Amino acid sequence: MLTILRDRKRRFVYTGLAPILLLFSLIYVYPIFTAFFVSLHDWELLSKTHDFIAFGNYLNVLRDGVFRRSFLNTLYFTFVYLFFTLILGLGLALFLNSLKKPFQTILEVIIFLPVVTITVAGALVWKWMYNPSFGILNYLLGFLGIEPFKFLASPKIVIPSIIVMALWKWIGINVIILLAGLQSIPEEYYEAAEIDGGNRRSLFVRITLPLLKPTLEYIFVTTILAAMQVFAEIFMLTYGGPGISSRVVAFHIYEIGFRFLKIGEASSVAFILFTFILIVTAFQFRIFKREELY
Amino acid sequence: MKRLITLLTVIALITVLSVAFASGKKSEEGKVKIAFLSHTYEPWNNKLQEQANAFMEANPNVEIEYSYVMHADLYAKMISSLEAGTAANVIGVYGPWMPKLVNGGFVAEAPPDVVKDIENNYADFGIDAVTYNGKIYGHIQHVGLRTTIINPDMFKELGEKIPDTWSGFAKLADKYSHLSDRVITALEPAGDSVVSQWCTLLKSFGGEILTEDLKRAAFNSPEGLAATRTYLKLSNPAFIGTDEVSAFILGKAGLVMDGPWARTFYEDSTVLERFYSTIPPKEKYRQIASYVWLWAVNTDATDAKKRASWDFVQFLSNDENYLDMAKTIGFVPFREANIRDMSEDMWVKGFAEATEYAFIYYERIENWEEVETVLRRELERTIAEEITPEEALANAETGINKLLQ
Repeated sequence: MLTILRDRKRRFVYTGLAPILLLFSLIYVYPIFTAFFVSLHDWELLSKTHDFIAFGNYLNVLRDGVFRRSFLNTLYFTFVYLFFTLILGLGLALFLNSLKKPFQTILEVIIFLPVVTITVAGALVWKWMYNPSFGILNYLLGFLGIEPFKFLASPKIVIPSIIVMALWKWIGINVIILLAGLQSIPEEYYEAAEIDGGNRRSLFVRITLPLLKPTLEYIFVTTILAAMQVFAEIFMLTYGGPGISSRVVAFHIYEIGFRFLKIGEASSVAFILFTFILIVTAFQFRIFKREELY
Repeated sequence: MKRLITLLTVIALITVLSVAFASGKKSEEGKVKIAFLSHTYEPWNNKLQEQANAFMEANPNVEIEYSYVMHADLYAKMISSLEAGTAANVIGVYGPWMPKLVNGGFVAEAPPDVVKDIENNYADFGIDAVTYNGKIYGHIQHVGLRTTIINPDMFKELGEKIPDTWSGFAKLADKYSHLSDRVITALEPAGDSVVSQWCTLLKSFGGEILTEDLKRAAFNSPEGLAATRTYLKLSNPAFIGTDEVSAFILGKAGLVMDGPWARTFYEDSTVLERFYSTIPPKEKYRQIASYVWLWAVNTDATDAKKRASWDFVQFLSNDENYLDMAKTIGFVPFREANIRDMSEDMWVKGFAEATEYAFIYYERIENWEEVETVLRRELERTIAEEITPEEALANAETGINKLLQ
């Protein structure tokens, strides 16, 4: 009797879930398999023949110096961006947490505003600010007697300049998440530690950081995922230039797929990026899980 | 009871949807609906919409749905919609995209009446620009020649005569490179137009991009090197994108290269007192790189739609509308009658004169976009002082030869 009931329940659950699973497969799973299928072919958009070339596209991509540079640029962008997201995000969240309302709310809104601003519009404003001749940044630096920077035109500082813009755009979301994490730590823990003679540093190291760890882990994982796929900022600010100085993998996919129409090769780059992100994410989960055991 | 209510709701919904669908269909019965796609540029979009409205008024059986996408997105949008079979009927296309579209059978050959109109009324350069494999495939909307725009007051202030050679400008640029508030010349250092502007210099110095059989790069030559070195002096790495135009509009540059479509940018300047477009300076030869933007008709449509599309394209390109577009937006007139009509217009005049020295800078090969990108990347790198001009030309040569094989 119990088994029959359990079977009925299971059937009911599966039937209920079927439409959404179907939709999920259609939107997420089917394109992944299609992209993989396309990546194994010499597939050009607008072309009628698509020869099977197995892993030919993958080999071409790995041998391509422009892809390798794009990949290194992506890693550079990701790790520098991640570092500053964590440091600045945490710093701002701690600062906001120390404020009283309504100042806290006002600053929260100000910091969060860029997140809801359209990236394209934000990038255009930053492009003007970065302008070496009539941009406000060089104008302000001029007061300090500093020579104008070619923010977006110098291969050496172009990626850091884009990182600054990306931080302005996205830091707000991480600050809000970290602030929520900070506010969920019970006050009693701090009071008890203070009675035991804990100073501000030890409170931060022994209470705030450990209890904020799940939030930090979440930000760590999502920031890496987002940064590895950065596109709009690059597209709007530099179009990958000068030369290939700020070219990233997502831009590389766009260019070979939608400008050169080599969708097979673009799919193979997308798969390489997908695999890399998958490995990095799995590795992070494993480390975080292991650390939580003690 | 619950079941009955559900059943009635479903029946009601189906009825409402069917009635709405049927009435929608009824209102469209007998009408030919044309989708029309271009990129965004507000003054141009407004004018095109105005002309489309006029066409619909004159042809009540045709409905035109005009849409535009960001300039940088147009190619991707066009290609993906062609691939999906959902492309617009009339599409604005850049010349370098045409070989792929023509060879793939995606754009229609012009019907005899349109061919006759183009052959009878267009300048030779225009006819050549829309001809692929010996057949005409579209109507020119505008010609993208970037000639020189001069701010004479800057040269006057410095007490210098405006040079008539590229080397002359390079010498002046060198002489005044210490100035922090202005530049003598501002050719594009990075972006879409680097290659076309550099090609103007290359041809002017006597160089060529590709060999005659289109199988190898030909620019890694003494002429190519001289042109590149001069280009480095004439461009300022600080001006990314269209910043050089902004610099000119703010009175901070003495010379830029720009296209006729940018008329309103310059005319709206509150800083510039005087400026004019003129034929480009000369080195060995006077040459100016150009491309065309044309209206093409998608083959994937019924005969009625295709006919209506050609009629619409023909309407956009008739004497009256072409002249209106040239006067308001600034495009170079390509109908011979319009060239005469516009001879007094100071902005268009310079461009019209420059057409005499115009050449189509891209080769009609399917992977031109890739070839141009390789060249552009290396030129940008040398302008940004990452590599030497010799390295840039050698790298570009290797990359392009690989692509052409």
